[in-house]
Order: sequence, then C-alpha cells, then structure tokens
Amino acid sequence: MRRIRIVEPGLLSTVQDLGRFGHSASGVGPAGAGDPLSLRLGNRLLGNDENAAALEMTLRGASIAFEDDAVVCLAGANAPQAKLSHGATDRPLPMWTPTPVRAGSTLAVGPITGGSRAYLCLDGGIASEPVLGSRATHVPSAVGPSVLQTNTTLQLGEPVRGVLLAPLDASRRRDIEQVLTRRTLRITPGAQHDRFSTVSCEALVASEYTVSDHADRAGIRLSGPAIDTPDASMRSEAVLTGAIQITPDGRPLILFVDRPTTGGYPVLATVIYADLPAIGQVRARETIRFEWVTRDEARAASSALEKLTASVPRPRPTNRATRGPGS
Amino acid sequence: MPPTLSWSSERSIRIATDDPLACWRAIRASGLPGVLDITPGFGSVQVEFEVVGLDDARVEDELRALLDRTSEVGDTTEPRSHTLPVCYDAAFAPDLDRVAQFAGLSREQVIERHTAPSYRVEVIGFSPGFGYLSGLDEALHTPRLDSPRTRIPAGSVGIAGEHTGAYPQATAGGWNLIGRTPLRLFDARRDPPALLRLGDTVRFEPIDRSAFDRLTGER
Repeated sequence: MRRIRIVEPGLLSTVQDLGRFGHSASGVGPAGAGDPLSLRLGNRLLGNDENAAALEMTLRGASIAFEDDAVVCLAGANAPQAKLSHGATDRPLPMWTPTPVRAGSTLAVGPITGGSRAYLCLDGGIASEPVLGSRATHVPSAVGPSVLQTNTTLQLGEPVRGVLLAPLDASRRRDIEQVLTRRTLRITPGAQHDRFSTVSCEALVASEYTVSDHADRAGIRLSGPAIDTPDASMRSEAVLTGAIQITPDGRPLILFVDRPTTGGYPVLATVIYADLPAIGQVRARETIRFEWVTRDEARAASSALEKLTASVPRPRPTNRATRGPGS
Repeated sequence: MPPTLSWSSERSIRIATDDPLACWRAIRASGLPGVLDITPGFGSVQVEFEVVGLDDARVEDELRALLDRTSEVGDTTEPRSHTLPVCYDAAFAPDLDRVAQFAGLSREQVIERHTAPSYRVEVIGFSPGFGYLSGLDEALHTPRLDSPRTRIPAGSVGIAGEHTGAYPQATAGGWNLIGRTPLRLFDARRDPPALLRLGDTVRFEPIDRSAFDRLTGER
C-alpha cells in the first residue's frame, strides 16, 4: 500500500471524512471535516468518493513526505506558500488543482490564510481503519485516528486509475469562496427557541459578534452583547452541529463538529446546513452576524450548495494513461 | 402526554416525550428513510435527517404515525443488568467528604446508600459511553462543583444533582467524585462500544484497592 509520513504536523492536523453518524445514542459525536464543502470538492477533483478521508490542517499546515507516488489536491482556505520539493527542485502547489507527486517528494503546506482550515486530499483517500463506520477524528474523546504527530505514517487507498485531471475553473472558485467567506450566518429556530423571549430572538440578529480565541472544532465562543436567557435550568438534551447555545453569561456558543451529543444550555437557534462550511473557516477575532431565515429558505440554500458541488466535474476514466508521476 | 413534534433546524425534529427510550427504540426500529442519527435526551428525542430531499410534511406524518403505535413497534432489545465494581478509597474520592457533609451522613453511609439501589441508564451523552443513571438516593443529591475540574481520570464515579455516573474517558468534569471503577466503559473497537446501553440497569459493588488494581491489570 502507498504511504505518506508526517514530517511536521503543523498546528492541529487530523484525519477527517464527512463524519460518524448513527452512534449518538452511545454518546459518540459526529466529528468530521469542519469545512465539509472543501473536503467534498477536493475529493471530487481527484475522482475520489466525496467521503474519502483527507488531512484537515488548521491555521498552519503540515509537512508531509511521500514514500510513494500520489496525486494530491489542496482544498479549503488558501495555503499561499505550499511547496513541493523533490531533490533540489521546488515548485508551488496551487489550491484546487490535482497535482501528481513523485515518491521521495516533500510537501510543506505552510501558513493557511483567508480562512482557518485547508484539506490535503489524496487519490484513493487515507485508508486508516474505520472506527464505528468512519475515519473521522473526534479530538476531545479520541474516537477515530489519533491527532497527527511527527512520524505518523498513513496508508492511501486504491486510486481511480486512468483519469484526466483538471484544476477547478475560476468561476466555480469564486462561487466556493463566496460560500466559505460568508460571515452573516443564516439561522432557524433551535430546540429551545420557545423558552426565549422575542427580545432575545431579536437581540441575536441585532448586533455583531466577535469570534473569541476559544474557537475550535468543539465550539466557537462569541463575544458581544449578552442575551437574556431563560432562568429555569434545563436537563441535557440532544444538540446539533451549528446549534447556538446561550451560556449562563448570555453569550452565544456555536456547537461545532467535535461537539458532544447532548448539552445542558438552551439552544436559541441553529445555523443552516449550507452555512456550516463557513463556520469551519472563521478565524478568531473575526466578526460575524446572524440572520433569521425560514426553513424553506434554508432548504433552498442547501439545494444551491448541492448544485454547486455537483457542478464540479469529476474526472472520468479514460483510455489514456494517468497524466501521473513519471509519465 | 402524547409526544409533540417541533423542528429544531431545517434538518432535525425535536420530539418532546415522557418516554424518550421507547420513542428512540421505535424510530430506530422503523427504518425511516433519510435519518442520519437519533439522539435521546432528558424528556426529548432528536431526529436528524439528511438535508437533501427532505419533505417536511411527509416526515412529520410518518413520525406521528410511528409514535402513535410506539408500544407495538418498539424493538425487543432486552435491557441488560450490570454490576460495576467501584473502589471508594480516599485516593479516588476527592469529593466523598463534600457529599457526606451535604447529606449529613458519614462516608460509610454514603457508600452504603450509593451501592444500595438499582439504577437505570436514563440518557447517554456528554461523552462517548457516559450514562446518566437515575435512581440515586435523595439524601445523596449534591449540586455539581462550582468550577469543573479540567481533567479527571477515566473510570471516575461521580454524583451531580439527582444523577450518578462514571466517566468513560479522562475529560473535564464538574461532578462530585466519590470513587473509581476499573472497568473499561467505552471502547470504540468493541461491539457495541459502550458498556452501558439506554434502559440498562446498573448496580455498584464496593471493592478494595487490591481488587481494583487486579481488575485494572486484567482489562
């Protein structure tokens, strides 16, 4: 099996697919890519299954040694200094571009800008042993592959052979960037919405909030004007990725992919599915706003996102040899 | 009280019910299409759907029909009974004195009353395999700590409010710690991964330190 090795893991690099579902009654949360749109598209560009596992890198990317030939595609936020080295030659690795990499090469991803997460998708996907049906890493509970360390080696799956690879065109890149840089997050009423006053519901959309330094895969704490919360304490109930809890100090907390399955603070609103990839790209100290939408509007937004995803061409098998390493 | 449905996002429904376990079992057994996950909590169950192709009216109708006959369609999984060995040694029980003081009991009486009941796994949440056990002796109801510990050892047995339970992983936590079990409560490579399942019954059995060490070595 083909392998890659982590030379330097960067700030926080993990193996992620689209998440682990169906085990919440055992307390197992979904985990999965913080920006699932980028993961899906990076995989599509390589001819992979959209759910193939890739490397998720946060703020500062990893350095990776390729022990075998592979085709890679960087997706997500920008990695302007990403560089492939083989022997004495260096070349930049552009975003959203399937690129053959020869055995013996090293990829240094470097700083991630314009967002917080980039994905290194690899042809065939990362073939770690699935845990409860998924290769996603849930960082707080250590379910799934371990957080990547220096010298971790990862095996790659069987690639799709004989495909023509093309970079993502400029117009779709703009569309995707629009989705990922959206900072007015659309919301619909959450599980405990009816426990809040109209004033609280209006307050949530009335002001800007700043993403605090306590923002990670588990949750994004916001600072800004306090919101009145119901006095009565509640017993733990199921939560959702994108659920906005109001903590006792009145601040909103957006639960994210590494969230627990249940929570004890009331959920005022839930960020719509189509805006979850944008949450995966917010950075500490950025400002965000919320905007109430109807369920129908939320559905329309997710349909538009699915359409955009489906419009990204998958390479089709051809009779020609892979435009791959050494050819 | 009949279950009531409300949307908690464009992709999930919250079902308020006084029997989350039966509700969860019924939906799980139904094979309802498009369901991503079903999560029971206290007094409610959440059903999360694939957002693509979701039809509000159809899903609501199907869920209502299903919940009307919960008792017939509920799966027949028999609840299991567990006996969890717990070592109540001072080294594992930093809050045993606090619980005793709160209850106006001696440490020994707290242990007696903690090991007497047969508990029921009411909800699993917070972390993988963490069961909220109900049936705690009222005298032992103790508010959680004012500020949670940042890291407590796996296996720690605690009390918070009307619940007791054991931490499967080393995590942060605000429960009053009164002992530790040597059992592995969650193992993702085991099937099923969580030792406790919703609706199971649990008893605690006091063990001494040497038994704890021996059982820890065996697992």
